[in-house]
Amino acid sequence: MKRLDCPSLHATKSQRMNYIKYYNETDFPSYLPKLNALYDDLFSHGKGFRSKLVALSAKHLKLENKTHQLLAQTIEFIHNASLLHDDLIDRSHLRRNKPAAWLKYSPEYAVLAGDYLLARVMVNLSSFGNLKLIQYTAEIISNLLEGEWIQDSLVNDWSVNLQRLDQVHNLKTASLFKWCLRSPFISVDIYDEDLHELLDNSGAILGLLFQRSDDLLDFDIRNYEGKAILGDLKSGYLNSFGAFLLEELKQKQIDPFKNSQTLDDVYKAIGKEYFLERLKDFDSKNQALIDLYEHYMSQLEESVHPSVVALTKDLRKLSGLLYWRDSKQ
Amino acid sequence: MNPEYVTIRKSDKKFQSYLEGSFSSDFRALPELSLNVNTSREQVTFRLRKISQIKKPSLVILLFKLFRLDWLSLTLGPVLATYSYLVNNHINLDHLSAAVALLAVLFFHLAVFAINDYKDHLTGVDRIQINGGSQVIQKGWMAACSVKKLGILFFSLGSILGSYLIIQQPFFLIAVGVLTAFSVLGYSFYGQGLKYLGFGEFIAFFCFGPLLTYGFSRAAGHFHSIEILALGMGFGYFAAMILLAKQMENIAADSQIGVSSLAVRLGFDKAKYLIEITLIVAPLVLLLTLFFIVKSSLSYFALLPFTYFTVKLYLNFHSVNSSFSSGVDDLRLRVADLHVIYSTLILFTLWLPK
Repeated sequence: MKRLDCPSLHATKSQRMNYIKYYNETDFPSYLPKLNALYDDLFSHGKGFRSKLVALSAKHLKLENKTHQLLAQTIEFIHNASLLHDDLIDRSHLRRNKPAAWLKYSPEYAVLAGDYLLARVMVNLSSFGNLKLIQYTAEIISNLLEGEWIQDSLVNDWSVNLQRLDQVHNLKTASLFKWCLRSPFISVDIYDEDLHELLDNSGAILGLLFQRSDDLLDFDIRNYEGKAILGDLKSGYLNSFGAFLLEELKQKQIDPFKNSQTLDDVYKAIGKEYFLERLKDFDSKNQALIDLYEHYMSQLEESVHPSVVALTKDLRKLSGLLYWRDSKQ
Repeated sequence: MNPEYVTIRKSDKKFQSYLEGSFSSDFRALPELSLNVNTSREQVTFRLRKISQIKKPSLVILLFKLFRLDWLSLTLGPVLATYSYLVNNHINLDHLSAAVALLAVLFFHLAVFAINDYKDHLTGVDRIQINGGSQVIQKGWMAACSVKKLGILFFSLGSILGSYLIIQQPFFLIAVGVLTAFSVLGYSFYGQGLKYLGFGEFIAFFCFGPLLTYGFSRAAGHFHSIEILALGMGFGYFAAMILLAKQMENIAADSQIGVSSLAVRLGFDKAKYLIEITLIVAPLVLLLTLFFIVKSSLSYFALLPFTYFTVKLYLNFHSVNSSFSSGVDDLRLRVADLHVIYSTLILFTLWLPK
């Protein structure tokens, strides 16, 4: 099993690749053709944010290395399984700037590889033996799939509203963030209901902020990494910022908007001034969410668990970091 | 601690006062996030806003929204149609009683929607459902306790006027009054409310249909007939359709909080199919009403515009493939528009020469 030392900011690409590669040879039989190659492609170049979130709690709870490894592997397996399936469902050609697995290998292998990751999650968690953790993880996977199902039904729906999308993102993105915050506590049999509710609320907000920030990237807002833009729009999917932009527009403006191929097309369709005004409103809306997150952090600080109080100091920074994508915020 | 937010549990003595808005005369507590709704572990995170800083619409618009005046056709439609029927069939009318009955129905309309808003806010239904209720309480425009007081006031006024009518025809009108009261109370107040146990459509059909037409006819004309009941059935059909449409809008949220509406029990696909059937049958309901009750050959022209709007709504709804689709948003309002069109056409045609 690969060691789990968190690489520093100056780690080499190879060190970072090793850090993300949370599997060993017994998880994936070498006699299955192309399976390990597919996973090598999949797991490399990921940011591993979710496993880093797990690492925060693991540090403060002083989890055993084996438990930390299991939790980090579980969340990365679940997340990457969803990416394999998502890319096939959306017919996305690229994942992390490389050809998507379904294109490079085959759609059948992409589906099976995703299923296999989820199966390994259940095998590994069962060996660990914490029934509540297994139950909770199964619920999260179920939520994730429900969110994916609903999201697929919204393709080419250009009038979907933000509240509906939030419900979908709560099931998809936010579920995993909630898991990252709660599972370390479950793994060491801390089941305090009040604590878990707070972690749940906090995880939900982090997930929503992460998703909304990602959706803004698609419109080249705070796109510091220079990712390809308008991918959602071109796939026929209206993301949260897109839905917010179109909320008050008439059909004659929506039609050219949905056919936009470049940002200039978007500005021509709805007006650059309007776009920037709505961006300001969207940012205010999310700042209110950040304030709400801050409220939950204050409540967490009043917890009786000393590890929670220490963890809160680290968690506090995340909301601004995730949304504004600038560590200086 | 962020002074803007406060999280309170149901077990806390302040919980009720925060929900009702009676905790402060300067601040309103707007529910931001409700967890474990309607259980002993319920907790709500409120955002505290100064009442003076809350942007409110004009009083007219606020009351319009609170009392769902855009839904007046639900109550006034059947009443005015019955009045038109009685006049055009030369039934002797007691105009004073007719006016009192009309006012009583109006007051009960205001009371039911206000009290329903209050109850659904307290139980958390309107805090979970995206467009649940009038949202007047959730937006902080009015405190829940004030809405409750208005509801009780109008209920009392309606009851006083109703008493005047009952004195004249105790047997018939007490029966109508008791049935209505049980239906309204059961709809909103019995445990989870009968509307959440699958009886909502039946109650809506009855209360906004035959019970209303029969009650008004007895009050205003001391008259009843099968035709009066049949007239009510058409209105009741569309009232039940509105409720079914509302359930479809909220099917996901209702399912999650354990509300056993008809749409939840049928599931998305079958509920969609049922709504489509009701839309297909809708012009037939109008046709039957025109044939058996209006009885004017000119009235059949009303089928044209009505069928046009029904087909338009059907085609729009038919393309919906998810309970999260935009095609489901405001479905109840679009079906309510159909009720308005139906009411208007019936009212108009009842005055046509036979």
